[in-house]
Amino acid sequence: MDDEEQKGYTWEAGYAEGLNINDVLVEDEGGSIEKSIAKYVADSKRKARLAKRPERIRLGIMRHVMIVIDCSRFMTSKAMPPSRFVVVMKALQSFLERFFEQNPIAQIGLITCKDRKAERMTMMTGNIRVLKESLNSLTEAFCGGDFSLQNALQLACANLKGMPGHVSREVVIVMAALSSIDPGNIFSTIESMKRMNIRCSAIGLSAEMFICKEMAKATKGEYSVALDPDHLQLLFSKHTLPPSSAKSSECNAIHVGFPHHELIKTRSFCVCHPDSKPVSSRGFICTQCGARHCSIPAECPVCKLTLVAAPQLARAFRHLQPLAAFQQIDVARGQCYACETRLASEGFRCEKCRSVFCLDCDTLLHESLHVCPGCN
Amino acid sequence: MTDETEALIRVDHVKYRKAGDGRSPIGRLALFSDYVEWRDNASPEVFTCKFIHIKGQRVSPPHKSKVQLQLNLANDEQATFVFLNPGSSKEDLLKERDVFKVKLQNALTQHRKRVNELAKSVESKSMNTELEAKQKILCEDRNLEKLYKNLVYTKTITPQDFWSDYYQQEGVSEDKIGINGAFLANIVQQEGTNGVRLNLNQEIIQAIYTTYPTVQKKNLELVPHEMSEETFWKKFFQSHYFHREREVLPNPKDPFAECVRDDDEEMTKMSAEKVQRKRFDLDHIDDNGLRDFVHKSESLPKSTRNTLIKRCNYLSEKILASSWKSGEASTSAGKEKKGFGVLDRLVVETEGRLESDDLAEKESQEEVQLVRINSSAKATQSVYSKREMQQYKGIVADYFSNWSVEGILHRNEMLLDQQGVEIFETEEALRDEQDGAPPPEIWCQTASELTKMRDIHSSVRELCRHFWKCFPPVSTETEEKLIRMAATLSKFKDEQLSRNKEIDPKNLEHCVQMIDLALQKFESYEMKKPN
Repeated sequence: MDDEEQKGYTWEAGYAEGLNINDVLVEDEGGSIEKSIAKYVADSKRKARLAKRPERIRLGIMRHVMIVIDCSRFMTSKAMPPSRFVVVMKALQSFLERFFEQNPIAQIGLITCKDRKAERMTMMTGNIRVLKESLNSLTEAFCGGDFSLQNALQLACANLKGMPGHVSREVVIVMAALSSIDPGNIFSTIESMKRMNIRCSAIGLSAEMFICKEMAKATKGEYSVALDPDHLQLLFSKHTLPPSSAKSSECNAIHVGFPHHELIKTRSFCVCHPDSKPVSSRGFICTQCGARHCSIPAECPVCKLTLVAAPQLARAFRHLQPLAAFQQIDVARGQCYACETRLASEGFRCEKCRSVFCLDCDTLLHESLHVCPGCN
Repeated sequence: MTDETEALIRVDHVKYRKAGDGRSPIGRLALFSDYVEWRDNASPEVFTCKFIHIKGQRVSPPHKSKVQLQLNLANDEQATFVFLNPGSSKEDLLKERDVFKVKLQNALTQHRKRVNELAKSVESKSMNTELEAKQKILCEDRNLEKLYKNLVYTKTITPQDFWSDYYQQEGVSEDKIGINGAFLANIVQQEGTNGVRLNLNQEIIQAIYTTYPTVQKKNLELVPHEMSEETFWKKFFQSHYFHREREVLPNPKDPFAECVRDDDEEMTKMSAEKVQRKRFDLDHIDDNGLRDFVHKSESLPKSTRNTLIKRCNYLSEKILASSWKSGEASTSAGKEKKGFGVLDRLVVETEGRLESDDLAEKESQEEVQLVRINSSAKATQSVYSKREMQQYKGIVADYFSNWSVEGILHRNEMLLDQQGVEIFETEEALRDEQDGAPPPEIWCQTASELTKMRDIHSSVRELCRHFWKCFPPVSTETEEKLIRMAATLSKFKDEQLSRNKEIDPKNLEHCVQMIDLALQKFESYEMKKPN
């Protein structure tokens, strides 16, 4: 068969046209497609902003998330400068901050997968300092070998197994590898994750993989591939929002303590700084067992009671009734309702009170304040 | 030796030719699972030979008149057996001998495998590794070591209780690893003096054994009796396993030549087990009714490319088969599929679908559960009149035009400058310090006392942790532990109070508070119990 000599079949050309590759990835004069990728990323950001978040649905607020970090040789690739590993570490640090801001009573654990073996780096904890220290201890020189999806999932499963039923169990896999070397049947592992109601999501760094797509589809997780570091940040921030909770998860009443921030008069050591001394003379005393904490929210290591401040818990309310997305409109003139700057070309209009805001105010209102000043 | 294991095979009318002696008695040869035995018909003489003494076996060539089998023993002796059943023909005798030979070979291989595994397991010593791991944990964490000393040595807590929290075998790592499809290609090669040096390690050898079980069998048969380990591997890398296009002719000196035949058989078996995809099976959807009458074309001629492709596919199949073989029982009870057959489930789903995923409508509604929230649950909102609004707007505009950033951030009401604010804040902190507890440095006279203090506090925390872990008591063990811990806590409290002549009671106040809280909880639990 002299296939190589012909230019290709006619049906091939027809198929390629339908895919619109040339429209999506437009090459500029130098032949680079960077601009079209940046445009695609900006489009996704806009779509995320305008997306309609469902209101008043049951959410899993007590989240236990295992983050799996791929430490195979593919992470050392310089496809995302300076290297994929560096980009992921930076994104993870900012993700951790935003995550604990939005989910004060959630917990995160870290797993690394190197040379086909998965190892737990940090246990489930709500202490962001411990997690950041562990992340800092990982170096690029540590990466090597191949990635094993099955071992990573099974290890996450073993760690999430002991959690009570009302907790939302999630796994987020950051994966640069294009293959997975597994000791057994990966499909049966995915089935068992599905049975245990563990939501597995993945963020790819190189290309889309069928097995990740299957896994996300079966366990109701999300899977996307990051195109550049900004897009990676965007994908991570999608995971800061609490997921809707499945019908089968139990609904329990949870014992929570609300300690006061008080001046502590007894001589005591705190549980968070066992080797030195408490940070200040004000602290929190656990309402059940009497142990001393320097900051909350925390899970008391002595009696396992969740300690929160009431305002932090009330923050969860904002997820249940999120501020609706503003509609983007074109305006020729006018002022922003909030800051009175002149509006240039686009404005964002609140559906309820019809007041128009500029881009900066729109971002501020949706990310920090969660109220619309026009709706008083 | 006198165990009642069944003989694997018995052959009568076998003459045992002793080396040296003149007479050669006739008797019966029997094969057991770990030794060979020959019994004399006439006298009570018995010849037994354990497998560990047998290096190998040889048979006489077919054209010789006598049908013999010879065992090579470890001490360089030989034991020869002649098969001469007067009633059987030569072919039957040959067959008998060959059957015996094959059975003996298999039994020898099994035995050697068992011996190897036994040797390996003796080395691992699982009990020791646990102790070592625990010692390592204690070495790495000084605080834990101190806790261990204070609590377990003084018999306050049992070791099991202590280790149940700190020594975790589950959920720490997943060690079983799969086999990389390119493992043979990835073997590190170095240019040597004449030829190439390949570095083998245990991992690569294990991967070769799992993928090609025939190679493992050959290794057990041949090494170290007929050839050295090095020679074995040299021959392996010259064989068709490593040079996949090579056509191999059965060569008596090449141990892997036999494997070609076995592998070819397996390959044909695997390709017969193919995945049924009705949409792509041209025979199935063919419209040509005369298909059956048309002469089927010859199978493709053997070319190096075909052999290469076949062998590469065979490698992939074997790797998949080895990983699926060790899998758990699948959810579809009992229907174990091998190799690519596991994809049947996906294929059936795909072909049973009436709609295409790509063309389907996106955004199927996720199942969500609605929550009833009163709209009036929002915080109270202030409403400003228009005049007030203008007034506030005026103030803010005024600030922006007249004051700098630093000017705005001052506490306007108190009219303090930067220095004033700092003084105010330090005063507040000092007041806290005086009213609050003093810092640990000044609790005790010496540093060693302070360390002892710290140890007591962490011991109390640990004991309380064990106590609170028992709530709610769901089983009898948890209840027993709860009662035990309550007793331990009150004992500890008494000891502290009695021992405390040297220790300032103010330093122990917090500990006593924690223990009291725990004991209160225990009392209320006791009261609530029905009996």
